[in-house]
Amino acid sequence: MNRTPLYEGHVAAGAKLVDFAGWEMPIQYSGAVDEYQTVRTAAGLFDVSHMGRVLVSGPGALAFLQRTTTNDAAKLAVLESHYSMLCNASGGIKDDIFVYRIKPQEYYLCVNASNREKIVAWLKEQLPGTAGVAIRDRSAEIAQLALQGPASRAILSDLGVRDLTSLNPRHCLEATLLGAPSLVTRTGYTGELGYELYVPADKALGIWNELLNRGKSAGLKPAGLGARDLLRLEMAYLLYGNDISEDTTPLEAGADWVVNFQKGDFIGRDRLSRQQTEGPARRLIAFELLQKAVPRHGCKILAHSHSEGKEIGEVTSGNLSPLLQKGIGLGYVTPAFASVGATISIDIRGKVVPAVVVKPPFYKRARG
Amino acid sequence: MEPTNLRYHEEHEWIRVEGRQATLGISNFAQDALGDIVFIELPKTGTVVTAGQQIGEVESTKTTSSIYTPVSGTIVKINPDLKDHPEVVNSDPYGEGWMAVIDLSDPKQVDGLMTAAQYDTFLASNK
Repeated sequence: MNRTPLYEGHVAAGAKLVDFAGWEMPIQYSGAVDEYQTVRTAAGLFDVSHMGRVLVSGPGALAFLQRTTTNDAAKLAVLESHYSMLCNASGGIKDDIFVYRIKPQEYYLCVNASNREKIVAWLKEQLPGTAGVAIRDRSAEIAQLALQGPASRAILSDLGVRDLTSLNPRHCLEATLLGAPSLVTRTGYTGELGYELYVPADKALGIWNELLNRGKSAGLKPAGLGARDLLRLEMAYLLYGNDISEDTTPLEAGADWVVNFQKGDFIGRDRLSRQQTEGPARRLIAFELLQKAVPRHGCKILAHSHSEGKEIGEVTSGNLSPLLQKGIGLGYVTPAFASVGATISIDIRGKVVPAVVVKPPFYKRARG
Repeated sequence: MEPTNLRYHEEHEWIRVEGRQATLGISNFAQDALGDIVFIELPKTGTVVTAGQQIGEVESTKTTSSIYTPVSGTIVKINPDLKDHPEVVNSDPYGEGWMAVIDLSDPKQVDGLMTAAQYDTFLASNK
């Protein structure tokens, strides 16, 4: 199994390790709920080095990204990033990614761990269509940490990173962390104020340890994949392999806002454009259960709140929200049931539990 | 080593027998494997149950797991604290995290369950 440069740090912190997409990753340290609360109230430090970091560079880089991704990469200023998708010719999602423009002609794509090899190979297959582009998988050279939570800014400032107050969401800055040239981005997967740190792999463990030491007084703790899944679900952020796949499109998944039909042609555009005109046959919804139970991936969604309700879709993610203390989830339903306030029910291993479609996210952070 | 005053079942439940009554819970191994427990569904008191039957479910942040009874009888009491504090099963699986009390209809069934030493061997052989 693959190990990230932070593996020793996880063992030292008493992590419970699991196989995640071929990586030996921490699912929890102190406990998923405790780590969740820590991120919502103080700060948590995640190792997300298992994700892929692919550099797309050269004079043709922008044209290449315009053709292979759904969002309009021409809108990115230097040191700005955005969420985007890579689709196949049928409009199915090959991966959901973050695109960081780090230099005028250099972009980093942060891709899912489970898709990295597939995406690197696919991007290389697309190279003949655009001149002046180089693709390099730099995942092994760079480690990626996510420092997330209301205390994250103070902790990072304490490590000597300046200008964090003027760093807006999705923007990046170059910084030196313990002498190592690093990229600090205001991005994350938790819904909290937070940063991701792209650091040289050989310096990652030192930076991890230093952050945990310095952040201890502010409540910082290491946080694992269990907490990360609770945090992202409360934000209704999509999880590849659960909520989206090559069999679902961005429009079905409610990610219309990252599909730009005005920018010119891109892979999957024709099918997506047709789907937009005709309307997708199913839509991703967020729902809350009206009685205490826990919906899970694969549970059937039924029309109305009685057992005779016909099947209208399937749950793709579900858990008990630590915040709401209710079962919450995401799932696909036929469009007639996709409006906020619609009454549905979830078949949880034979027990039919009433639910209501709600407007995501489940968690709304107080601004200030 | 697990507590020696309890008997254990392959599905990782334990029981503690006092007279004709057995208190039931899940083992330390089970709670550790499940991770943070967030919700527990238990049968109503008065429910008649048969050995091997599923009587409830434990929901953790990771997964759902069934609770089986290793003995037959009638549920006479359930732990009322687990409704609001299911996490007690994580912190004290053999004490405050007990789940139900069963009035045994066939106390001899207990002899078929594992002792602590046997359960330890069972866990070691399943690693």
